[in-house]
Amino acid sequence: MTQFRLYDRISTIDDDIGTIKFVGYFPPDHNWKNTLIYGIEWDNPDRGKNNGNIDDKSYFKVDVPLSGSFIKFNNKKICHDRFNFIEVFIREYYNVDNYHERNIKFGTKLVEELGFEKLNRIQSEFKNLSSVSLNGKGIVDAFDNDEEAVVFKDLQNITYLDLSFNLFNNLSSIYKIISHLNNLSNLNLNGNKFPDTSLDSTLSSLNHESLTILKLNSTNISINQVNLILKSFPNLSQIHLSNNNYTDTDLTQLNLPPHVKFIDLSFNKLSKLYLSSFPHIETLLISDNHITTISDLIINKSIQQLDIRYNQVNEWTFIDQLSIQLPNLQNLRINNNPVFEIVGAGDQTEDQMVEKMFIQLIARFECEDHKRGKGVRLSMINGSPLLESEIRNAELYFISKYKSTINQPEYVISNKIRWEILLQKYNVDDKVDSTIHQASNKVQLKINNENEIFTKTILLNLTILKLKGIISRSIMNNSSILNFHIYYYQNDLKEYLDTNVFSQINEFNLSNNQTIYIENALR
Amino acid sequence: MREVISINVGQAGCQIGNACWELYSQEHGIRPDGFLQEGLTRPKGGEEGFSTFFSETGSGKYVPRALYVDLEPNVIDEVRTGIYKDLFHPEQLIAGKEDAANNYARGHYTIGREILDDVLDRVRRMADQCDGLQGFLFTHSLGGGTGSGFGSLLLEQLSIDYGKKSKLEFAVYPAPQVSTSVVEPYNTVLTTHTTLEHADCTFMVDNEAIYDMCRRNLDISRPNFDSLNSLIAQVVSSVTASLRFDGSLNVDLNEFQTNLVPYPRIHFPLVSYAPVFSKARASHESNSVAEITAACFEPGNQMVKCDPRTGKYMATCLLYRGDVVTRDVQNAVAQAKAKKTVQLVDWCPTGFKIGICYQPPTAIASTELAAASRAVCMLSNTTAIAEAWRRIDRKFDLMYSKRAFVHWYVGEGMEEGEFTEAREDLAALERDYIEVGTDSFPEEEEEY
Amino acid sequence: MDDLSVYVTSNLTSSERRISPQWDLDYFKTKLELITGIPPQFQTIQYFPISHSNEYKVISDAKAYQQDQDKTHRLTEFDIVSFSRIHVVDTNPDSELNDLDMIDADDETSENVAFKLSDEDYAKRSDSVLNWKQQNKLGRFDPEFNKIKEQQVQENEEISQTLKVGDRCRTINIAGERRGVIRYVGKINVLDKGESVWVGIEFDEPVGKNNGSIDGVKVFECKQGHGSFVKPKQVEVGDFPELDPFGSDDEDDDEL
Repeated sequence: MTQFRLYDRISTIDDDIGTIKFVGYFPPDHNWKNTLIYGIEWDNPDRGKNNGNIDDKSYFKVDVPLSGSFIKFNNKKICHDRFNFIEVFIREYYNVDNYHERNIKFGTKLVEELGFEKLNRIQSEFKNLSSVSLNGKGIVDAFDNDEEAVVFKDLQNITYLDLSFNLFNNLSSIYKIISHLNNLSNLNLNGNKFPDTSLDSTLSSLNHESLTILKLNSTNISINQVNLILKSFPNLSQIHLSNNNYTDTDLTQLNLPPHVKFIDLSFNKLSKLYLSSFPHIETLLISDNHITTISDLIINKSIQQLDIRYNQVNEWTFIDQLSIQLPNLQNLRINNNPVFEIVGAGDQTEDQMVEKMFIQLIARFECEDHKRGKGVRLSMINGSPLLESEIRNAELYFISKYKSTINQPEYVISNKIRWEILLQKYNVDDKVDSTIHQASNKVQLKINNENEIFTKTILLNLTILKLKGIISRSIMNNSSILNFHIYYYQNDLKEYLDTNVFSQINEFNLSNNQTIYIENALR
Repeated sequence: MREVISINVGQAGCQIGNACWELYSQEHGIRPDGFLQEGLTRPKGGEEGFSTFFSETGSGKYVPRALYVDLEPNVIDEVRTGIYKDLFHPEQLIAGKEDAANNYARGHYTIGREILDDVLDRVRRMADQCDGLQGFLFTHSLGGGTGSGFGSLLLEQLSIDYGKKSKLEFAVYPAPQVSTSVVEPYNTVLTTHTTLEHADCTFMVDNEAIYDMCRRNLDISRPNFDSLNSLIAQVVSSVTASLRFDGSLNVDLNEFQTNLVPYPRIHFPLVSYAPVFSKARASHESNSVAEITAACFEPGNQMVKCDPRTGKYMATCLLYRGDVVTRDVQNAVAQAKAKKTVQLVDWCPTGFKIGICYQPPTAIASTELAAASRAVCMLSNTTAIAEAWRRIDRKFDLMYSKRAFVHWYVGEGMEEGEFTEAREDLAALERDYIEVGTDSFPEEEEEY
Repeated sequence: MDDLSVYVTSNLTSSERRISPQWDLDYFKTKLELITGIPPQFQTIQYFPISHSNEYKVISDAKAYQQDQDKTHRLTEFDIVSFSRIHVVDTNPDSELNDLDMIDADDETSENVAFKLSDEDYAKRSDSVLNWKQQNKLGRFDPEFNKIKEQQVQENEEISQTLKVGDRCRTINIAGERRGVIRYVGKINVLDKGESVWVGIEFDEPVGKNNGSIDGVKVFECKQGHGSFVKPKQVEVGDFPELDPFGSDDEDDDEL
């Protein structure tokens, strides 16, 4: 039976993983007295029962509420076998002698295994291996003695190593392994835990030149440690730091060298997008945080790809700011933010919501055709490539909406340059005029009578005579329609509407919320 | 040499063909212009496997063994002007002038007949370049005019001209909810009837199932044909991987039939594929052999909407690709067995097979699907797929009971008797599935 | 002008189509008929510039249908853009399409019009699975099959006689061992029409499939997830005391 120590990682027979956070005894009045007790913080919080306390006494602290529990040292659910990397690797990949069919039967049918022997032959010749996956195998350490390390001589073709969801709790074991793998380019350490206690300054002596992709998701690794290990990998281009509980403060500590071009910070606790942290990043994955604002004003020319799905963005200005601050953005994922749920709201279908989101985004960014464009502008939105005709269609629609809905925030673009470009592209002004698409038979007018404003919805096929009649009855106390004139402004020029009272309203270029003025004819 | 000629028919067929050849080219290290990628001296995947799908010209250029056929010029024109225009020889792209107007009879009788000889001629020339032609891989839709009408006409002819060669199909099956045209059920029933005895194995794909996968698994909020087709291509690629690479199962085209089809009419295996997740999410999935195997038994990973838990399996092939170890595969299959989702028909000559191909899947840069170090494709011949036939047969009946739109077909020279004949054949097919599902020994470990 | 890709929809159909702006309205309507099944004189065509919005304008109203007029209009006049939607409304109140709209496989009308293949006609077909099974003596046409099947039934029945309600028991399969108490032994009509004998077990742990009921018919009663029905052959009776699911028989596996 293994005697576990503080911060050891353990697994159960049901594949749950946890960290030992307490080793000791309960007080003599407890019925578990005189038995060695382990306090465990579970990786899956649902597996836990408490916060590390019993009878109001706290034995350890947990990061996630209710993720802790206590067990006796001889609990049979706990796996007591501790494996090292070399033995598990040989067990899984060296099968040439011990392969035999499992004889699994479905009903009366035996499962036929084809090509297994051949695969085993290939894999057992370690020089053939370029990819090794040992995820979830309960590995705690690298190897026990240098004799075992001889195996590495044959592993020089390995470029991909997956050690995710094992029981490593310090980086020195990892370094011990990879220092023997000189051609390794992709290393997956997700789901192991590297608490700050494993920080070891001797680590910085490693210089590993081939590694380009490093995955440290769900490892609780501190930013300090990240900064330290980045020094060991001079050619690293991708780092994955998802689900590590980082806050905005943590992120300000992050010091990314210029060779890192890709960073995954999704599923953390960030509330601000701090673009200054990423001066050289081309791909930024920051989905599933709580982001509401951009906290600096710098223009970031390096970011080409941004995933900011499932955050708390609820202002259109945020999106306009993105379009200003990320001039070289080519691929954007931003669905499932509250701002898109506001659009139109109410009883729209999912398809309608998605469509409106696309129009909003296309209008607010300068976009280009995914295939025919120059590859410098936004051309992928929420996983869909854009086509020139879609872009035109959306932009025209947006402009028409702007013109028909005065100052509704969803149709106002605060990025002035973008708005100018948009208007110039279609050679239109931003004057409010009749809608292009909305084939309505009504128009809402604001009627200004000596600076008192009344709003009326009028059918477009009425004559001016009728309109004046309505105005007379509802605003002018039944004053004769000959006692007043009505006019509006077109291109800044005063235009009378009632020079011919038998003309129809739709002969004039009136748009929704247009103001018309009443002029007393008797004065 | 064991060459396979791919034939893409109609709009859907040609568009899926494009996505497939884009992927095949990348998997084998071939550039869009047909020459090798920088740094390669030979195509990837081994000479034997590679040459089943590509031929090599004297100048170091590689040409797909593929033919595109459409009755109207639009889609083919796109190939002619697209990124991959130089990959194909102009002879491989055949377009007519007038479309089939969603009408099986136009594709099969009138318009289709006009270009048949030309197409057969091109097929012959391509076949002549092969040392040991294995057979043909068809891609077409069942509901469109060209795909259903001309597709079945061509398949019939190839059956006559190339007797024993295998003929596999990837067929786009009408989505359960909405039709692309009102006569889609007619076209589907007619073409299925015509090809039933000519195709050796048909893998069906229903766009609605793929669309749901794009939305749910890839989080593409607005999937378009490109998104759907690139996912379909990934699946087609994993089915054909064992032919193109050093595989262990289905190394020959006819082995699909041997492994999956107990009786010639029952040749519509259900295809499932895992993992399907987007690049941005890829690092959150642990993607273990156990997980991708379990995912294959989930309805959400199927290419056709139906519920296999209600059916019995005649055959199941699990095709793994990439970095897997045998022990993990064995454990995963044992877990699947423990869940008792698979009930095999014990008197059928086919069974449960697992194959492993060392070559990992490839992700296309421009698509959302993430590269995975391993993937699994499950081909299972299950009676549950009869649901698909029942659905389309009901729609057929509702229209045919009123003889709605039948005159469109008769007007193209088709005899009305063909409707009843086809419908009866499909009714028999439904019955065949029921008959296959009966007479198994009661499972000893059955539990309710 | 280039061809446009537009979505064409009607109550029954939805598809992406290419149209040419040079077409005249009359020709366009004949194309639409082949897709939607709605004849030109009954087509009211709505144009949705944004395919999923509520906003549309009517391009052509069936009430004002005049074929000659349609021939004079070209599609260019309507400013149709790519990826917009053309929705065709069927204005014919007697249209048979409206009936098709209500497709539901369980619907009575659909049942009435369903093609039926009689047993005799199916039996006559030479290429059927039935024929194949007969020819090759497969399944129930295999004399061995029936023998084995009967044997199985008999074996199960014999074993069932050694099982008593209230006995402690266990079952072992690939997923592991489960222990419990026998609550029922006998045939169950709702399960397999009374074909064979079943044993109802109440497991100690929630490792079963139900609460002792099958399809709402109560056979015995226990907590949800503790009950299952298995074949007698799977059941082993004996001194199998209750154990917790992890195979320890003391309190060492308690967790606080």
